[in-house]
Amino acid sequence: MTSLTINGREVTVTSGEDTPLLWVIRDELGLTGTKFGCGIGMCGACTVHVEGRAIRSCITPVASVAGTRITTIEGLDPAGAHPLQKAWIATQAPQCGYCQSGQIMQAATLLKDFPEPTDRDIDAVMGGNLCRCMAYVRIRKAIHLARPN
Amino acid sequence: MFRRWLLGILIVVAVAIAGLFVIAWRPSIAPIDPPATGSLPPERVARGAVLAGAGYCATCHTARGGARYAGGYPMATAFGTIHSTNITPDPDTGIGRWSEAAFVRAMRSGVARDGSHLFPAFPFDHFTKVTDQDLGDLYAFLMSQPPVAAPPRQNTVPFPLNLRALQAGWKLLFLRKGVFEPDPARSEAWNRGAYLAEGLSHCGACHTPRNAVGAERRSAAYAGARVDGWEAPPLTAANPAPVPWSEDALYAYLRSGVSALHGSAAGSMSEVVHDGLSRLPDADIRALAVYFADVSGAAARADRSDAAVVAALAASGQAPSSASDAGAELYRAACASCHYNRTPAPLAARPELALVSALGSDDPTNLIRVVLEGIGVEEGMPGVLMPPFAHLGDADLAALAAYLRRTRTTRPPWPDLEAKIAEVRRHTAGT
Amino acid sequence: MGGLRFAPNLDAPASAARRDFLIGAAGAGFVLAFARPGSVFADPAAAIAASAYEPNLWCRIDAEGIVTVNIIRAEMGQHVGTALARILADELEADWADVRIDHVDSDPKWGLMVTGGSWSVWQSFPLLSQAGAAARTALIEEGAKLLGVAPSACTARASTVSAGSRSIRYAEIVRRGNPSRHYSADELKAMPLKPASERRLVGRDTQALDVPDKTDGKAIYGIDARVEGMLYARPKLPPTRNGSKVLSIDDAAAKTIPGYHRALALDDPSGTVPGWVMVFADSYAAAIRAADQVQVRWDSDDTAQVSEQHILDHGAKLIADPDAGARVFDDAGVDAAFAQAASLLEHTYTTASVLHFQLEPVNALAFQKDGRWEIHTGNQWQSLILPTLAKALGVGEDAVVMRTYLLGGGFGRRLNGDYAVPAALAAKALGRPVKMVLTRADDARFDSFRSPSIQRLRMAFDTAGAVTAMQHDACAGWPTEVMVPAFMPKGVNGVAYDPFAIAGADSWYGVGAQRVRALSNDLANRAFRPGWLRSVGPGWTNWASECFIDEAAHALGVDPVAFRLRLLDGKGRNAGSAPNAVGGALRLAR
Repeated sequence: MTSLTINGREVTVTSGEDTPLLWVIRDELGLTGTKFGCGIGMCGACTVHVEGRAIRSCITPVASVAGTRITTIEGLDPAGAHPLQKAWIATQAPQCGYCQSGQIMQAATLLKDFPEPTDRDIDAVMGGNLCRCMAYVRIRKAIHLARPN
Repeated sequence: MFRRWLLGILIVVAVAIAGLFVIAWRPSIAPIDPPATGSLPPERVARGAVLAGAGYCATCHTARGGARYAGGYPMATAFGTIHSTNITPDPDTGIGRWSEAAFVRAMRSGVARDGSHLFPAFPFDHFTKVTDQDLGDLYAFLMSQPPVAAPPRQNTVPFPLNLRALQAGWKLLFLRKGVFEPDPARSEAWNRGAYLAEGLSHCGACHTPRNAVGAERRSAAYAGARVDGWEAPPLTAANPAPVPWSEDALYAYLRSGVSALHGSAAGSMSEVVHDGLSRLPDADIRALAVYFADVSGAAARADRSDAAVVAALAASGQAPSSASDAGAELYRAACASCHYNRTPAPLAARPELALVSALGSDDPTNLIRVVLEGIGVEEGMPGVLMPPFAHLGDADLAALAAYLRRTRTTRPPWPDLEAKIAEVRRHTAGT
Repeated sequence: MGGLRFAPNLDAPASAARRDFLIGAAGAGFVLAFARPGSVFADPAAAIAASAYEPNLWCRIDAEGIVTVNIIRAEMGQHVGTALARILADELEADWADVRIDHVDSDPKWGLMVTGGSWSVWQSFPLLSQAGAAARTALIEEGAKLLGVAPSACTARASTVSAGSRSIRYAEIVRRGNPSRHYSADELKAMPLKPASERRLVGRDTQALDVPDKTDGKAIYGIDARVEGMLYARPKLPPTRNGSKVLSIDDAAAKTIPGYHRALALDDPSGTVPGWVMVFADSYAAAIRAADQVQVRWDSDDTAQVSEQHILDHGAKLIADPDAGARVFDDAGVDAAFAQAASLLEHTYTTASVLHFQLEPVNALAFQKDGRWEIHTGNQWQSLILPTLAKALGVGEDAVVMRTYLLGGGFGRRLNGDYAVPAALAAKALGRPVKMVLTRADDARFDSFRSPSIQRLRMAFDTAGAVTAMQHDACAGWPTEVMVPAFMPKGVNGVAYDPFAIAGADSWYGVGAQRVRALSNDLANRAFRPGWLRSVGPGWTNWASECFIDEAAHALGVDPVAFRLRLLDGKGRNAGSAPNAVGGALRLAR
């Protein structure tokens, strides 16, 4: 039993303590926007926020986030209208879309840390979020578009 | 002739042993009835609570998942595993029947109420420097904690080292009793920092190397040591961090668990900061920073800082030049999203690998452990979680460590990384 | 020209005479349907009646004016639904804001369900344009009636029929009118389409309809499918793709894992996944761990020892035999040109195996409901795997339906729906729903990857350095031979070949007398299941031929661009022709 707050909702989950957070989110809580890509923290598809910062949920044991605030793509903005989401639509960034929840969650941390990112910043921080469709150019464009001011 | 020699030696040994037992003998101090709840002066208890934080007593006197201060925490020493004792006021298994005098004797001389000697894993060689007033306040705090029945756990110190009387000999050689004496030539803050560091906070217990019989080597104070499977880095000028630890950096680290120019606390140091020193007022943390800035000669090396930061940030965004470098690829995929930094300065929430002590040290243990175990959300910088990467194979982790060492430091490569990683993995799996 | 453009005929050959287009009004909605031979709508009258209850073929318009276009192609990042809906909506003169897409489940009425080969848009264009035009015509007729004017006085724009200053929305026509019109096949074919200059959607920037759900977690992929009471499964993969048998299973260590149920060897009548063992658990996290603990012993055939190098060596041997393989092109005079050549050039090219590595690992949810098997998964070629699923389950094809989901990447991996079979077999064996997911490592091992290839290219030159003949021999594992041999055309020597595995060898250069040999690497076909990956053959054929052209220019001592321009003379087999190319190779040379 682990208690945590997910997208503002307090929940107690029964998955074993060493269960990766990803499967708790997807299978126990039914929030399927967070994706399984590699299971070893190398592709970024499972990226969620713990205490407001992007982490790979597929390698994070649920017990290690007990008592924390977790945000998934479903909770990033109640109306799906986060500046990044709007920019993603404006640039038509997604193709198959499978990596995009993780891309957006990682980009949110990027903009928090570097509000005016350069291409170099984007490439370095987003380099762990793989897109097999090669949407990288539009993702970069969308991040520039979404930056504050 | 030979027989006479032998007889002589035997007599000398027998006399020595007998003498030792005479020297070693300490009287028992009469038991008391545990003080009634609320009977101790609240202001003393409150001051004691801060002091318990300064000494982070709970770090060693609480077993994983166990009740606070109830002991049982295993400490792996060169002489076997020693378990900490129950220091709750439980009358039978704790210190409930200890008078203040018994407590002060234990802190100053390493002798339990019943007269038996304590192992120097308990740092009485530091606590001996603490003032009567502070010891009394600490006693008041501990005696007002909830009593927990927790029988002592069996130590694995082998015969004859487990003969507690031998500790008397150890103390003759190594224990220098006496309350801390301020140096009038130094500032008040320096003296306060020194009092805490040398006394209750017992920093040398981890950061000073020990001799063959487990005593801190005074000639090598704060030169760095291994403890609990971690490397406690040197706090002297030999510290490998590329940016010398300034007073402000030390303050930030000891206060918050992270220094933007040095990385975050991990392992037991994280507990020291968050579960111990966090009770101290800012002035005490500042005093510790003043003292250790002096110990490490920070001021004399401060001119290196800017160049180190510039070099680190240049390396931080370095794109791997080819997919044939497995370590570079792993870094790009698994590490850069959290660890990349840009000019003008690294962010505390993004520990800059080119600046962390773990990468500059000649011992890769700390880097390996952090990668294998991650850093909990309450460790280091609170709210910043690093997940464990133990699922990666030894060869991959070795490639990653070698890549970081090669591109982020000017130090020679670590030898036998794969074997070292396997060893650390075995060690941490066992704890 | 006799190039290698290959595509299945989306209209069944005999359909021209029997394809009727129906419009009927029924209940709440206005419905359109194509009746196709062999479909449930074979009888036009029955189709009208049936359309009252069933969603029908290409679009429907509801009383709110929402236009829903049925999409039978898989969405895997190409925004195909948007592209197809725009074709129909453009002719329908629909307001784009009212258009929705519905990625439909498998049903015989759709005809061939396949998404690949870059076929979807150009093949569907006439069909969907006509469907849109017919619907528009019917709406104008009914709208004219409601407005009390002649249809000829009406125009349609933005879901509105207008006559002078009066107008009526499509929604109102559906609500108030009773549009019903039957078009014969000939009428439909004669249905006038707008000139390109009148297109208001096609060819303009539009936002893809599938994108918003891909930014907020609402998009549902195969891996997100779930049903009450399902068990999770992860396979233990045998050492070989085809020739393994399970000898024993030891799950003692797995029993310590909370949530573990059991491990089971699959019995597969379809022969798709021989030697598979499925490990079941309450959660996928537990299934991952349990599968790591289950020990399986297999008996495997000789392919367990086959490496990529073995496959390439075998290919080299096949190429060395001049009589082997299919002669796709074999111009007269090839041998003579080589015999009389002033100089010759020959090079051998190899390519490595290439994995699909689509980001969503393959997965499928299978269960039986109301006597019918439901397979929930993302797939590119439902018509290919449905018969296999039926065989595996021992039921008729009409007892299997594939529910459609978004694909977390296709790249051709999901043309081969083999991954649906083990889920179905497991659900049948357990008598309860089974959700199978492969881990990333499992997915890589089970991939139906692009075969390694070996190619030999030869060229003959005359004394002036002009190219007189070229021979291109390409040997690789053949996905089409392994999975759908009926799709294989025959070469000029009567030997069938995989058109996808040789596409691109039909040079766009004029190279004189040309011989192209396609050789099936039977060792590859046995050792793994070769797959279609993206463009398939051109991934290796064009790479080799363009490298070879550089080598030829180098050998002749001429500039490689000038050399190419000289060869772009419009005489190559793939010189390009309308409507698929404008100007073709000759335009490239200008």
